Amino acid sequence: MKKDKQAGPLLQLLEVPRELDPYVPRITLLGRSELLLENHGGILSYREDCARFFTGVGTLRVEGADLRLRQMNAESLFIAGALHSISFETEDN
Amino acid sequence: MWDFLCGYVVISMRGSGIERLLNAFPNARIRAWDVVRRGGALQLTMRMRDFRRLRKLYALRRRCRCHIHILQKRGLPVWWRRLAAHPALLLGFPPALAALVFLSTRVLFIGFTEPVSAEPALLREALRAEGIAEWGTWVGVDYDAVAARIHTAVEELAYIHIDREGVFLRVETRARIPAPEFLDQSVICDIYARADGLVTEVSVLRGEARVEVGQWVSKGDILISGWMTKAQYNTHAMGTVTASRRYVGRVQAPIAGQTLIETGRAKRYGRVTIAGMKVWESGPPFPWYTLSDLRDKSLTGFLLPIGLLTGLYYECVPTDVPLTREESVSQALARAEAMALHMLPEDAVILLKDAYTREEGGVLFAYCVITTEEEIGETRVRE
Repeated sequence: MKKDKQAGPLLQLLEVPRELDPYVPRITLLGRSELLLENHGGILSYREDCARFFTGVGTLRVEGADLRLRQMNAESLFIAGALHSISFETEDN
Repeated sequence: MWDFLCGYVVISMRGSGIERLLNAFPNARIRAWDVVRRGGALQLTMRMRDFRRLRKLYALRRRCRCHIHILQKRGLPVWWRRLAAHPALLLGFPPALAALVFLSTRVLFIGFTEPVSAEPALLREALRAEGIAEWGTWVGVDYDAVAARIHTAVEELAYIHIDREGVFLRVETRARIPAPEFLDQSVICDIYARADGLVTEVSVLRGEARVEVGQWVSKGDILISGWMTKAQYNTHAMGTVTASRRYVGRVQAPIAGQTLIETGRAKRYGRVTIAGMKVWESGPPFPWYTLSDLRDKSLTGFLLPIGLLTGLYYECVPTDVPLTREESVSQALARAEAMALHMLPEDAVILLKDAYTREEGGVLFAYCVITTEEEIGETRVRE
């Protein structure tokens, strides 16, 4: 698995909460149909059944059915659809 | 809302590097939403202003090998452009808006909510006297004050409430229940039986009972006397005497019954409702008819939901048809029961109901015997 490199010693030294680290993704799941992904690094691929997003801690893979990007901007993505699984891709993938 | 006012487009992007182009959107200050994959293409929505920016990303589009097509244009600018192409629509818009504003200040429908206790015509007249009628304005009208004035003016009303919902005026009423007659208690009275019956309960408040439980009394018999035998004085007799009574419904079993047979003639039926209130309905064109083939053709998407119901009135003629014994007995028993129930006074409590048939002189009769318990006392002033 890709190692989390963003929580550097400087942030720890300054006692800054990790939520403020712009390289650490924040994932909010609303039920099984909506997902909010903040601090993402871009879309790697997008299909109806699978979407992959680049984040500071690795590639996030969202699988489901009828996936739809309801909103997208530089910081956040709002995904709607029937969500089946959310996982980070390992080196094996 | 803001997107609608600014105008937006639904576009389709096709190519090998769609995701790369999507990732370039934030840097180019392009906001996209409702991104969905449709086969090999990506369908998304963006504002018209952002679409112009996207068109300027010429080099990137070529690098991503993307082809972009507009699928739909929506929003107020598009709507306005289409409207401008039709001057008649444009010219008709202000008067239509003015008419809408004008009509929204009027009461267009007056409805009397169930149960309508008082006569609607009487209420309409009372409302008209207060200046409330169809096409009259509701602006500045205090309906609570109007209801209070009508309540005072119309004696038959016990309750009235007027409620306005948009252009609908709903009037809810209840009729006044007449107060019982006042009987001077200093007048010497006796309580007589107003009907035959078997006494089941005697309750004397004033006076002396002349009957007891289990005794059969006939109509006109004195039940409670105002004469106090021991004290030797007359008083106003008060009390209740309950008796058990029987009501018999007797009906001859019919040989033939009537049924409605269609003649083949038919006429259209129609009914129009606006927001659930009936505006128009075609009356029955035949004295005997059946209504069928009803189809709901309601229109939605308007300011008010418009209901259209169509169908056909089929002309019928009542025709005698022979009945089987079972049908004949069933009909006769139902009629006998209805006849017996019709004879019951309002305060009667049904204790027992029995129905049977009997042949009398070769003719079949149906009987329904209902046993009740009811108050049979009737106060009369002694002359």
